[in-house]
Amino acid sequence: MTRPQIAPRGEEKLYFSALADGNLTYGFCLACSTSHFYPRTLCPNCHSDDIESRVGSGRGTIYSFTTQYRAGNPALEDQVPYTIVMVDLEEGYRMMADLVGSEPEAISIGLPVVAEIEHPDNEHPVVHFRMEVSHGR
Amino acid sequence: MADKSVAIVGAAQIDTFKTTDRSPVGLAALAAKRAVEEAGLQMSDIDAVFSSSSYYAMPTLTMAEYLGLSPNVVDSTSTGGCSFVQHLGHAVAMINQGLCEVALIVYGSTQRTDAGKLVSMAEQSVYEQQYGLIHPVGAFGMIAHRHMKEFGTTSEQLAQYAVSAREWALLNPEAPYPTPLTVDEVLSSGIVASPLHKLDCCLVTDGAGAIVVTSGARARSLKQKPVWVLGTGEAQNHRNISQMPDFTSTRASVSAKRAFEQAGVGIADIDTAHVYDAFTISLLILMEDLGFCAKGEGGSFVENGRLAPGGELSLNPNGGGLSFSHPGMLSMFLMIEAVAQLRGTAGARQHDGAKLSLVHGMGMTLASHATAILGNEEPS
Ligand SMILES: [Zn+2]
Repeated sequence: MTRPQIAPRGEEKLYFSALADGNLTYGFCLACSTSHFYPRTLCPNCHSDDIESRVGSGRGTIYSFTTQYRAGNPALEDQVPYTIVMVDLEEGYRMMADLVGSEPEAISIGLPVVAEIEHPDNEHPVVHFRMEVSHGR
Repeated sequence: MADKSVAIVGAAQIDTFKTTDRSPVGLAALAAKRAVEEAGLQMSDIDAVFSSSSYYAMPTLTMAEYLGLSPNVVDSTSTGGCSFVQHLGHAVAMINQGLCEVALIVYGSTQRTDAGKLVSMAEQSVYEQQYGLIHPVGAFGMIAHRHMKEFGTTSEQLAQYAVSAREWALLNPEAPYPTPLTVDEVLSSGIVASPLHKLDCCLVTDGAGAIVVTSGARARSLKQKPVWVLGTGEAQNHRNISQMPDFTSTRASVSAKRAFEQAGVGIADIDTAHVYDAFTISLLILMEDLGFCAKGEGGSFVENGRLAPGGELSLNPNGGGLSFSHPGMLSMFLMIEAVAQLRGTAGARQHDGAKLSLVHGMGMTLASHATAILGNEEPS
């Protein structure tokens, strides 16, 4: 699968190299004990730079979603329709990714999902979510 | 007390559906010329240029060079579609600071000619780019699903706003589609990003617009009856949709509160409203946050033709982004319609005796907000 190509820099690169090792990371502020995503050099809550990169469980629930019947990028034209989800992770942060393995009718807000990491050859790794209870299988 | 009044004295729009043989800056230049001329001013009177663009990274340099101007101050604040209402607030401040006297706010786009693709040079987050979320409709699909989940809003209700906007557009000879629309047509127009259909989305058009803003002292002697800027406010809270704290409420409430307080008026005083309708759902949430209805009640608020001609509120009487024009960034055209209503020159869609108008622009995915209260009676 070919994805839109990205060019991460600095702390962005650290996130993708952690993914390449199989770890979905998020930022955790040691000063105020809150989580954030995407990972930052500074806590967006208290502005401390005492940030720890933590590995998350990848488990969460769907905050919202959309199924697109057009591709948002030419590289994804053969994937249409595909679903993008906003997920509230159990560690207290929210992230966006796509949802794989479910028919659009089976998707709704509040359902549990779990992250998986795909690492295509010669590309950046990519996070997908999958419904924890599979439907129609 | 010093006279702090500022007014819009010129406004013009051009080729609001399709242009030919004009570049974005070329089209914008013609809108600028018309706005300056109808104000009874010369291009050489302009000493401040405000612009934002999806084409030009340094739009005030591009515009000023093309127009042959050497402004004293410029502002290219770019927060998406609401930029021009922000520019208006900044122009008021700059004029009152004595940094400039006659400000030109100008925009042009040839997005329809550019094969109907949304032109954007805005970068995407590396954390989100891989997923092919269509900007901005994919994000608005997620916003709509969340509003439906929390408040029971339906696709039929969203479609009703599109139908009302088309009814208004039928009164506007410049609107491109002179046929009525039904709820069924919206619902059968094909889903782009669930739950939003093609006809829940704004048009993709060309178009340029310009407004000229000056001090009250100067405005009183000019050709047009001044449209007074009574209050402005702005607010913002995210860049990427994943960072929007709550998908069903926005900081439009903050920008509107600031504008209303400055103007010393309330929402019940508003005669015409010009609210950013890039999508049916964006309009509905903004109506809640601006205070036209309670949070969560947007769905029932848009029902029963309440927002259609002859309804309770003259909302987007030119047909709005859904049925008149949406050349990438809409807020310029919201202001121009408010000026027409306050001058009483809006023809068949004129709100009789309109005295006060609210303009609300939003940018990106309900990320940035700017509100202006305009009126045709001189502030005391
Ligand atoms: Zn912190």
